[in-house]
Amino acid sequence: MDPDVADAARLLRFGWQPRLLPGKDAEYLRLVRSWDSRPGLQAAVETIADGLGVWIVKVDPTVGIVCCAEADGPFELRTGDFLRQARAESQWSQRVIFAVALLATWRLCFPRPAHLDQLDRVARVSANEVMGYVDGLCDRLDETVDAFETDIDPPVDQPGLERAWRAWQRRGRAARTSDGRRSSRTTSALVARALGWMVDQGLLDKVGDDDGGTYRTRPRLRVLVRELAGTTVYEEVLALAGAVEPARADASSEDRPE
Amino acid sequence: MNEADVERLLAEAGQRARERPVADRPFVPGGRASLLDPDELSATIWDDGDDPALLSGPAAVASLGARTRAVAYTRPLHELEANKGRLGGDAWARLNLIELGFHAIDVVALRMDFDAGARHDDVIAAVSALARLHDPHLPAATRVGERVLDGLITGRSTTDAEAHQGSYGSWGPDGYVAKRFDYALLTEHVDADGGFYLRATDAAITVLIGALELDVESAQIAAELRLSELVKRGLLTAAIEEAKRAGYRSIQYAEQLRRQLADARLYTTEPGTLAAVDTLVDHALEHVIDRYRSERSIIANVTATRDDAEEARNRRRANQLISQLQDCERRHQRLHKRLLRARGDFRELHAAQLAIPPAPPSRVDLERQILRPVLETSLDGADHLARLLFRVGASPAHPPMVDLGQLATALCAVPVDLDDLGTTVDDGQDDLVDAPARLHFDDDCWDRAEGLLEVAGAPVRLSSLIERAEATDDSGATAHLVAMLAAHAFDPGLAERLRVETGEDTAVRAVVRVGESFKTATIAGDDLLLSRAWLMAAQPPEPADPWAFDGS
Repeated sequence: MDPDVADAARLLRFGWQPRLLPGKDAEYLRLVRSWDSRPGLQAAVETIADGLGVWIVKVDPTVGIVCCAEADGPFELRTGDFLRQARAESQWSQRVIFAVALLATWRLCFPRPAHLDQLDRVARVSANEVMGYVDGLCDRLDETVDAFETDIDPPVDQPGLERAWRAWQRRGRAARTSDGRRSSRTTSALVARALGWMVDQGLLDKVGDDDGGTYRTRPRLRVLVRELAGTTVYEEVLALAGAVEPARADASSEDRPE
Repeated sequence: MNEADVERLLAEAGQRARERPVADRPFVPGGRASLLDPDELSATIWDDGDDPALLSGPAAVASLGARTRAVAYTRPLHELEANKGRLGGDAWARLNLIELGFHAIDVVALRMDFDAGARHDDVIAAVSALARLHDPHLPAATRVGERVLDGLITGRSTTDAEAHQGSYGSWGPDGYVAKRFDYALLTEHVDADGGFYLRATDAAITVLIGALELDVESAQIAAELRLSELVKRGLLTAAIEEAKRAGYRSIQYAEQLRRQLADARLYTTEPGTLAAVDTLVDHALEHVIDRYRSERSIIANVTATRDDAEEARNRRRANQLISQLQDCERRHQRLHKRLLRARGDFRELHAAQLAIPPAPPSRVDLERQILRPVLETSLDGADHLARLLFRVGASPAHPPMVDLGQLATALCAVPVDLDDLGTTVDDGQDDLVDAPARLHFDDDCWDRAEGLLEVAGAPVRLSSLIERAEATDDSGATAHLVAMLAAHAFDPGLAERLRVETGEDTAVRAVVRVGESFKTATIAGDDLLLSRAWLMAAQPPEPADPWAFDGS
């Protein structure tokens, strides 16, 4: 049996354990250390992953293997499997808010593009910071719309044309249930879910309950964001920007990269 | 030319204008059929004008949307009032929920500081106190406070936390398009200690002072001019009203300033932000100091008026006015202190950000190139990206079954009874709960209710059962449940039971109206006669014997 194929399958198996670091497992460490020097192993991993419907994002000596499922593959985790209440087609605003919370957390952990290249960067982020940050962005968008007097409210019969930031604003920040607890449909609850999910995915560690819940980045988040933000995610954003008329006809062109 | 000639000429001109077809007339105000002339007001001019501007002038049509929005902000208040019968029944008939709603917004607005707001319980207490003044015999006044607050807080009235909505029309190249807009009156926030507090939005304050969107600073200056004029002329009652409006204006101003400063903190290193913050703070300081000075001078004037006043009533009014003005003054003092600190805070932040080296050109700027475009796009588009992010941000999901060991365990597992209505609910989300449905009836309550109904072998009146239920349980829940079970007996689903429970006789509750009504401490309505009835299983018909002799 080809040792590359056996090792490739072994390495791939760690892709399902996002919170495990190579430092904690001798076999894992051996495999990721030898990654760069074994083109045969690389090819074998790619082939097996391709067949399984898994996409290798990056193999990093400290972080280990970072991979994700391809669309419509057997290992794809769908939003609905996780956010049960957002499964219904009509609950897109919950899914969008979840995504906005993820992106806002990325941005707060890596405020400048250069931070993505700082190997030793450990950022802290709290749920309240994420809330305040997105609220501020939304207010700014509101002001731009007011300044340009653009009419962006959606037609009554086409709720899908509502702008994403309006959907964020429309949902309450916090709501007290009749027994004094927090309701799960508000933006703050969705932000808490998003942060908790990132902990499960080995991207963050929770350090305390201050400020709505405080989290610390794990190196995996930096690798993931660095590999995805500029490529797959950005392409999707460009496709969006092309499809939708921007809120500010003249000001947004300078914002968009060449 | 004498008067008769003038009249004749005018009459002739009017005649000529009427003879000309409407469509030929140029679309200018002078040539248009005058809306002030009753003879011209026929249906034809409305039908002929396909331009909506013809109806009442271009400016008026364009402002329809703005006016619709201004009125929409008051809708939550009207809905409270319209639904008070449903919310509280006859007991609330004497309450005016619109006033109570205004009062709630009032209390929240007045408690607002730069970064604080009003506590829920505080507002509920204030509203219920006023409700008790509306109706001294009001039962459970706290509930009034709670319902009013629920109606005003965004999204409490529906199951989802979504804002109050309205719709208005906008005119474009495609003609009339109905658009939706969302607004909030009171918003809920969580402070550093995890406590909840409320803030009133700009829209809510607008509703309070009944003004459309205006420049707040100019409005503040105008209000002061009016105020000092009223004081000079000794019109104290009007001055108190004006001072109150001025107070709301200063709350609104502080809120705007807070938002602007919070935004600027996000963009510390963008070119021009530092200068912009300087200008903002300078301007705000100047404005606040001006307000403070003119308030002081008005207070001095009012004090003089009060000291000269002969009548006790005038002195009392003057005192009221002074205390309101002092409240305004305190607000401005606090704002002033906060502004002095803002610039220093901002410069520190700016210096910290500048110490970081610039980025290599290859990396994307997460906010400018990803997050902002996503926020700006439509929900449709953002949903695509949300699904993508969710997939790529996660490691591959565990497949349902990967090896024989798991398969064996899974096959030997004790089956879980799944509810017909869905799968089991995730645990471990204790701090995140949906607003729970109120559970009226616990097991004891059911036992008591069933016990009471069980004795009802001989026909018995509902009223006597209810009285017995109330005697055993003073919370009223058992009585309520008994009443509901009795009502259910009107239609116990006979067809379904016969279908399911074939072959056996079953007992069902049967009920008929007595024709009288009754009233106990908790329940009132038509009295019913309850009894038990047996359903005999239908014997299947004997199969017919084709060879049997038919006697007829």
